[in-house]
Amino acid sequence: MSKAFACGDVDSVDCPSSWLSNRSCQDNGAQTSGITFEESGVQSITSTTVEVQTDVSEKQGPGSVDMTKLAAWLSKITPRVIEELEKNGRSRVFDEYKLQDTMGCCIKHLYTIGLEQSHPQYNFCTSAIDWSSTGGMLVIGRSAKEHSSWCDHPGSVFLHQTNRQEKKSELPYRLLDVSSCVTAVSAHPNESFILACGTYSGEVIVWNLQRDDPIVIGNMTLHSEAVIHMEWVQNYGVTNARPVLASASRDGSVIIWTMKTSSNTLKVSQCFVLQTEKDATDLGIICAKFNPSNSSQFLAGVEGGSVAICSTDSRRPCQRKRALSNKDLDCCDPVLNFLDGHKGTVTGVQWVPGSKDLFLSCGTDLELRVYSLTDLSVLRIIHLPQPSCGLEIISSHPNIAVTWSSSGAIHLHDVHTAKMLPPLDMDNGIGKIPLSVVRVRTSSSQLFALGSSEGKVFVWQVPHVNFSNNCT
Amino acid sequence: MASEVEETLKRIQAHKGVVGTIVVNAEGIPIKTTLDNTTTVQYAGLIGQLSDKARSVVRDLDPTNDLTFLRIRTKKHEIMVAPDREFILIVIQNPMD
Repeated sequence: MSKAFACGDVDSVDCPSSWLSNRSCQDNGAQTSGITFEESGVQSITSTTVEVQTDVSEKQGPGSVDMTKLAAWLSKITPRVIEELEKNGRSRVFDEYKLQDTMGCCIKHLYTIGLEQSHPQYNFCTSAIDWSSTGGMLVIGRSAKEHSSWCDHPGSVFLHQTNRQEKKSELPYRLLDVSSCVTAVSAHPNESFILACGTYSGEVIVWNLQRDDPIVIGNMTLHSEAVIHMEWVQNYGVTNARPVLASASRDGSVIIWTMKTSSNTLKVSQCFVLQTEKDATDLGIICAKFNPSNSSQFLAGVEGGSVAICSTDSRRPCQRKRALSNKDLDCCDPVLNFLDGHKGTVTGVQWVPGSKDLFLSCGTDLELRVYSLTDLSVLRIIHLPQPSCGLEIISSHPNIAVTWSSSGAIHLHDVHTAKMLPPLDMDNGIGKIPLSVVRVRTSSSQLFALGSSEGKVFVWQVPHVNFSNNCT
Repeated sequence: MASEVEETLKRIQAHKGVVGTIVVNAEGIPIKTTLDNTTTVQYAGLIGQLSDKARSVVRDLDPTNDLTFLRIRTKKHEIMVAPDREFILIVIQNPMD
């Protein structure tokens, strides 16, 4: 240890440089390849220019029109156009046509027809209404409300034109006088100038209204009691034959009349009397309706509430005879079947249009019955809120039956689903109208003619939408 | 002749409720009108097409038949069309007037 730190002399030491070195040089050679040049030719596409000359079309203007031709054509066509313009101005075709979206569910009171009360001592009511085949005329029959014995009231048939543009709340434009109260009226289905009426005393009258003075084609009293139904039956016996007139009376008789306008004659063609099954006594008819699909078949609502299916093809004789002017007329019993009827009075019978199987009846027992003709059975019973006074079917909506009550309520029923539609609210501010008869006109819009027991007729317009199940 | 055409159109135009009268040639170009330009061009084009279609319907139903007159009832107007080989006359009427 002591030697290490002792003083002494040491030889010098070389320190070689660590960052310097000697440059070394060396010769080297590099050979590059020589530059070569190459040439190649390129062929360009040759294009040619072609010029096309098109014809400039001249625009035809009014100047190029052949005025002579146009003038000749216009002079030929103008009278026709003016005629159409005039016809269009006069036309009333669209008067009552309303688009469904503009009508909504709105039921509208159009006008009231006041029947002339020339004999205020009698208590008259509207007893019968019918629309003419074109829908332009309303035929109204008037009758006393009650008859104690013979009818000596002055009867009248009123005619009212519904297409008139002037004020519509008015008196009828024509009046036909009859010797007793009018209980049934029927306008001809094809000839709107022919009109039939039945009276309380059993008289049947047919008029031709073509002239100002109505011509009586025929009048006969063969029924012994009031005529309750009159109907023109089409295709009776022979297809496309002229319609015959059928009249049914409360005495149980149904008479088929044939008419000739050329010779103004009315003849009895056939006579039927409805009789009971048990003792062959006469059955009073309350309502009747011929089958539109089979003109030889008809329904009769009879006393006791039964509904009878009858056929004019029946040749079963009955004891009773009708006294005609010079000979007795043989009568047949037309009844094919009696169906289970109503417990009250049957007030209306109707066939369902378009269905050969279904028919309806309603009564004062608050029932609307749907029957099947094939099974002769009741398919369904619809309960009515009030006793019905009558039954109508809307031909444009054959599934909808209309019933009305004497208190003025009108109800619609779907006969297929037995569902009651919302009732028609026909209150024009005077309260409910006591109804005696209702007739529906089927055309562009439905018109309901409501005959009141006060001797007035109210005409209401009911849009089609009210006959739909969806209308609320 | 031009005055005769004008007179005839005036006669139609003077009729009650007539709103306008247009005469269209076979190419569908309006050559006479009492309406404004835009309405005339629209009526001429569209009614011309409808008239052609109506004519072909009538002829397709019965090759021996032809369309003589066409009336179109609208909410506002009634359009009467008298078609011919060379011209179509269109009369627009307001029947409520």
